[in-house]
Amino acid sequence: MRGLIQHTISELFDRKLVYAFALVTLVAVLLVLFSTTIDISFGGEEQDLGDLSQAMGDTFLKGLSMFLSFLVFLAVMGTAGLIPTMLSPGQSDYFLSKPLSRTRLMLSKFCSIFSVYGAVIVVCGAVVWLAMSVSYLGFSGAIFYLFLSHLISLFIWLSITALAGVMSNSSAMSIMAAFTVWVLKVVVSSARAFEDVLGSKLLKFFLDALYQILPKTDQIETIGERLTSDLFIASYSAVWTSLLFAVVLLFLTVVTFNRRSY
Amino acid sequence: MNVIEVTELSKVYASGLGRGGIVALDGVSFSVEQGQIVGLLGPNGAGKTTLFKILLNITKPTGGRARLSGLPASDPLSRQRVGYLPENHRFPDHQTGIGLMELTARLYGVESSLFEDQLEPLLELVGMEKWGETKLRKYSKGMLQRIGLAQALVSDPEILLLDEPTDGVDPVGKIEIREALLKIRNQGKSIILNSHLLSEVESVADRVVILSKGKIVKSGSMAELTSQKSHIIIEAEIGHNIVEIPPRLGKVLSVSTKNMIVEVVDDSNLNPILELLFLKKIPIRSVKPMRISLEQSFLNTITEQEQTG
Ligand SMILES: Nc1ncnc2c1ncn2[C@@H]1O[C@H](COP(=O)(O)OP(=O)(O)OP(=O)(O)O)[C@@H](O)[C@H]1O
Ligand SMILES: [Mg+2]
Repeated sequence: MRGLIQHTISELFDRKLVYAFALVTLVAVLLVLFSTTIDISFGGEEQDLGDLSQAMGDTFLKGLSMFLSFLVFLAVMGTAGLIPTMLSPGQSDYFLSKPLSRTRLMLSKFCSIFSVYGAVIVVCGAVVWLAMSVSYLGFSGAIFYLFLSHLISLFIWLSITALAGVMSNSSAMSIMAAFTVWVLKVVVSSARAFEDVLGSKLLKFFLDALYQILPKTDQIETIGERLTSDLFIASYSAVWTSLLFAVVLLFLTVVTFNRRSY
Repeated sequence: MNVIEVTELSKVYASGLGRGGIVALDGVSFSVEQGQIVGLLGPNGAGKTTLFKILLNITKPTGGRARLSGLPASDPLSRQRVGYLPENHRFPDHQTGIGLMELTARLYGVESSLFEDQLEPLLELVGMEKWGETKLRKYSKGMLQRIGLAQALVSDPEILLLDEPTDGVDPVGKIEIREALLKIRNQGKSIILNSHLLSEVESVADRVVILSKGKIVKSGSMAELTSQKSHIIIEAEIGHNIVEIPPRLGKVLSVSTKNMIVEVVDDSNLNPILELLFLKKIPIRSVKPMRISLEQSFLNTITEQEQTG
């Protein structure tokens, strides 16, 4: 496991992805600092400071959440090729000849990717959060939930690219799989809005089923935002069902991997 | 003790959309004893690499069994004491030489202190001590091959599976590798060497297995394969005597004043032939089977096999 984590870190540096993460973070920090100077110049003496700070907090929270989502997106795109590379001709012989069961090898690789890129996301997010704290100190320790929700979302997306990667042995295919799920999610949720107009019972059932099956990363991220703002959460079902989805996908990944010849 | 045991192993690769498939291995059985170097020979596509991959559970067999150190190949523990140098390897090339060795050691669960002690000697063994810090993507082909051999040795393996280890290595390096292999064998380790360089195999292997079209067409000790039993060299003071051998016993292939080469029809005919020499009072100095090169033996085996189908 330690070997694979180190390997994943060296892959991260080799692919120059760290620079992408650093660049994006730098831009975000500059944006935060820039926008706070504007805010301060607008902030007149007479305004209710409480309201202002509340609005600022909301904006920052939303902004940080979006930034984290973008980092998750970057990580998913950046790591989609890692498993197919490990299983590519010439490299698979190297990894598979080691005294690790296939299950252990795959889960170790998956966990290495998740922990290395998860750590990068947390660090980049924390930097932006610190920049925000320069002008706004309203965040409590509850910010933890925001990070957690995005890590869960990363876990789910990685399980999709892992399964697609093992099944297709191609990085392009695993990126496409992630995109397909994303597009499906958008299509299903907008179609559900028109469900009543569409009328057909079968279609409605089909859409509902699809909605339940597909991971609900957006809802999870919203739950994270609401927990951070200490707002009421009606249901955590989005978290459990999506995690179940990811676990099933990981299970299928391992099963497929165990049956393959390379 | 047998460190490798293969019974009735077969592998059929599915061939795209067509029916049937490519038969890579067809009922292969053999075993390797501890402390032996076995040369695995065969034409391209004979199934040699496939055999290695099945031993390591990289590829699943269609039928039959493979065991390493008494454990079935499907058990990851069977690979604990096995070092492998794949054919056409593409090691992660953003690693340095030492990085690759370290990753390998970690994957085998070798302790760090043990690894540190081994690193220098191993790099020296393959002549790569100056290149350890360089990234693999800057290596030449022979250098990759050398570091590949070093990583196969990181776990102090009992069994070494080497798929064309000297491919792309310069002549001096080939000799160094050959000497390294003999040294490893002398430590009581077993090696299966898959190579197209027959002279190289001839100089290190104790036993040879020849595969062709997925079947073992010949196997035996090096001495058995390179001796041509039916051809006997008789060293004797023949002088100007004329020795005639009845056709039912054999045939004189060549004769000089000092020796004659006889093709005997059957081993049991050797005595009657020698008696003929005794009768003529010709002193006999030695009788031995004629040796042929491994290359010749290999060619004979393959052509024979192709003629019989
Ligand atoms: N992944 C694969 N899919 C389909 N067929 C394969 C695959 N790998 C090998 N084969 C086929 O199996 C047969 C044996 O191949 P293998 O690589 O074992 O030969 P080899 O003896 O190692 O040959 P070489 O000396 O050229 O390395 C060949 O006919 C080859 O085409
Ligand atoms: Mg081969």
